[in-house]
Amino acid sequence: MSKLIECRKLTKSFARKNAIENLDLLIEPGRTLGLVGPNGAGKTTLFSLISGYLKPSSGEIRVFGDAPGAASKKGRIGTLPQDTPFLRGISVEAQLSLYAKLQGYIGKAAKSEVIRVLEHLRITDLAKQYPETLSFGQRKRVAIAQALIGEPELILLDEPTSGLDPVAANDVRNIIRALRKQCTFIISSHNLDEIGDVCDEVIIIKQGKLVKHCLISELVERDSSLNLLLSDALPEQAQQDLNELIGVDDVITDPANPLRITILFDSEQPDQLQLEIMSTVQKHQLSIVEFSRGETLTGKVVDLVKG
Amino acid sequence: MNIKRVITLLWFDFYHSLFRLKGLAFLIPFGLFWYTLLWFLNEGGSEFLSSIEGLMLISKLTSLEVAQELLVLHPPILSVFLLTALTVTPLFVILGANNQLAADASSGSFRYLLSRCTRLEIFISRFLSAYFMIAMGIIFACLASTLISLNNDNRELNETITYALQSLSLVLLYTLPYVAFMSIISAFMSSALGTILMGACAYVMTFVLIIYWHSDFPSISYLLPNTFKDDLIGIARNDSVIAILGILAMTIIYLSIAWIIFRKRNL
Repeated sequence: MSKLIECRKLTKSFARKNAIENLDLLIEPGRTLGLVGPNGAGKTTLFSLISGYLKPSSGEIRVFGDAPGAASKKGRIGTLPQDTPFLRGISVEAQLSLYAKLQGYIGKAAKSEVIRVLEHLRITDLAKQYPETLSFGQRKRVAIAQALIGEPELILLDEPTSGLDPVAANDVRNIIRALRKQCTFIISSHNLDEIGDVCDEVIIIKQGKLVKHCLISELVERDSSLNLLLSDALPEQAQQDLNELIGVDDVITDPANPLRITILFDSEQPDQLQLEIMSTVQKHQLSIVEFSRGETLTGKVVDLVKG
Repeated sequence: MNIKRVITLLWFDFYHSLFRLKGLAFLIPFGLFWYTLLWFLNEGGSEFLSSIEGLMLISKLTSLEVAQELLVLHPPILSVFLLTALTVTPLFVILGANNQLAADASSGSFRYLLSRCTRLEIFISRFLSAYFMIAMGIIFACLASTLISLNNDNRELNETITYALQSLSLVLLYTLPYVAFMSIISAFMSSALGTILMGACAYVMTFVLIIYWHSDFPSISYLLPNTFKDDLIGIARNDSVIAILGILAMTIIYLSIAWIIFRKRNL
């Protein structure tokens, strides 16, 4: 099967600092991929290189077998760049019509295509408005709508649901689910629950280097972990006590939410160990607000990135 | 390069520039300047031009010999249009062609275009859009000058129309390298205002360098299109042909430099 995206020894530097370093990556068509990593990992840089916004400092990148900026590929890629403004003083409809025309729609067909994508996002009421009068969430939905114009084969979404209300975020996830059989999605996001929910493959990068690229089902196949949401942050002594329990491999605190911990274990009596863990937690005057068994993508990614 | 996409981008940018700060920052001062000058010419300026004071004033824009010939052999009001338009071209091009690429490149707005067209298509369309807007202003100014000339200069209709077209062509041609010069500045700057300031500074500094070094290195004067101005309106036809070729070559060189900068720029 031909590769959709191929990166070989890809490096991008800013002021002598490598944002992406010697990255080798192959992506096949028909997948829904999550691009994850901590802040400054190089997600947006990689995204921008694939989209052709940035030129590599060295190495090679090919999209549909050609350079990202190749004219022949235009219209085959839809992108949602992060926090990119639309032109001021020009209505949403006029700007989206331009994009549709550039993708080959003529006259009324361009307008129909714009209405189609706006209806998809349930924002037809924004068509006549100027971007500067819209809220952040509304602008984000307009930006997602522009990425869907012309039914592209590859859609790159950088933080598609950040800043959206829960209903709008759910709409976006439903759109991704509905379209993923027709095209390839690459979604860059810090929301790992969302990545776990809509993607089937994950690319984890850290400090510009590829940490892992695999199916999510391969990454979180182990059923030997507990995920707890506590009433307070875990004290150091409690963490030590948990680590000392026989069978516990590691206790990972979510850097984004210190109340959320993942405990990895390897025990022949997992139910017994589970009770010991809960009793240890309660011994330290902590209440368990939420509890689930099985490794989460969040826990695994934090584990990989920390390591 | 897809010509259809270039035309789509060009029309969009041109049309919307007319109603936004990008275009109004040029159209309003340009309109006021020409309205004032043409109003003066219509209100008895013709008589002033045929006086010694008028001749002396016009000779400040070129040599006395050329001024004399332009005012005697051709409709004087159109000659004033030609000389004035050539003289003020750098100023108005800085106002009209400053925001070809700078602001949209730094804000990231080009990202929405880049998945649909190439950098070269964006570059060419923005250059042409800026040029067409300035050209539109010049055409209106020339049209108004022609009407005033027909009303005041007592020349044959054919002679006036022919000279008007000739003058218009020269001014439009002379504008090309200046717009390309602003392409260079706009390709690496990050705001319209910054491009105006940098464009003005670059122009003045190059101008001063030319004046300072011209006696030792005469070829330095070919850094700016000004060097062809006198040839363009000159008497000898051969000089005009050389000037036309020189201006076209200068436009291509400036545009090539601008493109080299823009194609490498992070958007």
